[in-house]
Amino acid sequence: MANVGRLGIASKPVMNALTVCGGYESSVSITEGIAGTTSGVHGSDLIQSGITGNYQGGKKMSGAERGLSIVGGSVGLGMSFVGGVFQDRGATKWLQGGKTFSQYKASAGGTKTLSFIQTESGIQRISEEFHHGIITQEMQRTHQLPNWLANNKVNVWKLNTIQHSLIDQSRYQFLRSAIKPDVSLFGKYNWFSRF
Amino acid sequence: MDMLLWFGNKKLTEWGRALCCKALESLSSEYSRYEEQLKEGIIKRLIPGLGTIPNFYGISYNANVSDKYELHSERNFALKHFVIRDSKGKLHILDIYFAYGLINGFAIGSKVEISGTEVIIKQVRKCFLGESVPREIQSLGELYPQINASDAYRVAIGDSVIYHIKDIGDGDFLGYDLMRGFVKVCHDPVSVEFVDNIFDFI
Repeated sequence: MANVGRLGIASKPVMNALTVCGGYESSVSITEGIAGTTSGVHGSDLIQSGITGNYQGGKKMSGAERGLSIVGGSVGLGMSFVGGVFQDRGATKWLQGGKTFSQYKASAGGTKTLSFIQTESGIQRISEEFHHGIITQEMQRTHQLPNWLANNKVNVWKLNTIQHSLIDQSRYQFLRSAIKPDVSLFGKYNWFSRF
Repeated sequence: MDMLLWFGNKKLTEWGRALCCKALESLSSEYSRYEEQLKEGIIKRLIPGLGTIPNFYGISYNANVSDKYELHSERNFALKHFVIRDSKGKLHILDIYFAYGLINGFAIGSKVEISGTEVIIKQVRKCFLGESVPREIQSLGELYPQINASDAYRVAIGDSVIYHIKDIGDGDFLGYDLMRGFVKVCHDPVSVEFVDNIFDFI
């Protein structure tokens, strides 16, 4: 249990994953091989990883971690229930399944470069970008919402860089400063600019 | 006005393609890859006035051709001062811009008629483009050949300044903080995370 604390920011999702998966044996160190690799991974990705047996990026799980995975409604060797309620594979899939954001983007055709806006100080790439319109990635992480709820056609909108910047102030902030004054609803680069 | 030109500019697109082809043909084989792109139809549409350079024609790409030729590590540059002599003997100056291994656009003062023109390349010079950034940022391109120095520009996030190094999609980017080194900057929510292995991103 003490080892779980080493995960820092990712410890809560991991612990939740264990709860969903039916608990864990207290003597098993689950942090081996996890520490230092969880940065930037969604909590729900970790949960899904616990189910599928792989991390995002293709890293294999250690023996202890594999012990946490569920196959055919049974728990792997080295595991015992400590509190919590075991849920079958179907329910787990329903609660936590779905494509990760990167998997969803790949299935939707990925991103393409549309054009470059040339300025004296350099260029701004204009490409197709994916934007979480209703349920943001921040909301997904905060509330640990399942991937299928956040990454779908209704919630993820395919926009160009200018459109994305117009509806997302944070995206606008990352534009090259030379073109920022021209990006606005009625500016030179607006929602209807074609690239 | 520019917006009106964006519609139905098939003739304009064909003119731009022919003009750039004619200029590049007169150079050495070093630039033949750009000629190939043009011949394969990389220009989906010309966009007059795109960017801040006067008399500039930007390019909207055919993704199937641009994907084939795009090189993320290729520095951005311009070939400046092609002299185009038209059939009436009038001289025009043409500058062609390149980015990430792709032709990016060109600037010319007037819409010169292609037939009967002569291209004079005596004064053509290659200029690398990019924002003025600290030496430490420039040297990253020497340490990591995958990093394109032309991609570096300042982004202010809160009280700190982070230099954009490479787009990693959807507005997020690999950055460099002069105090902390490489960082991954995300926009949803805005977050800055330390990166211990940049090869995951470049």
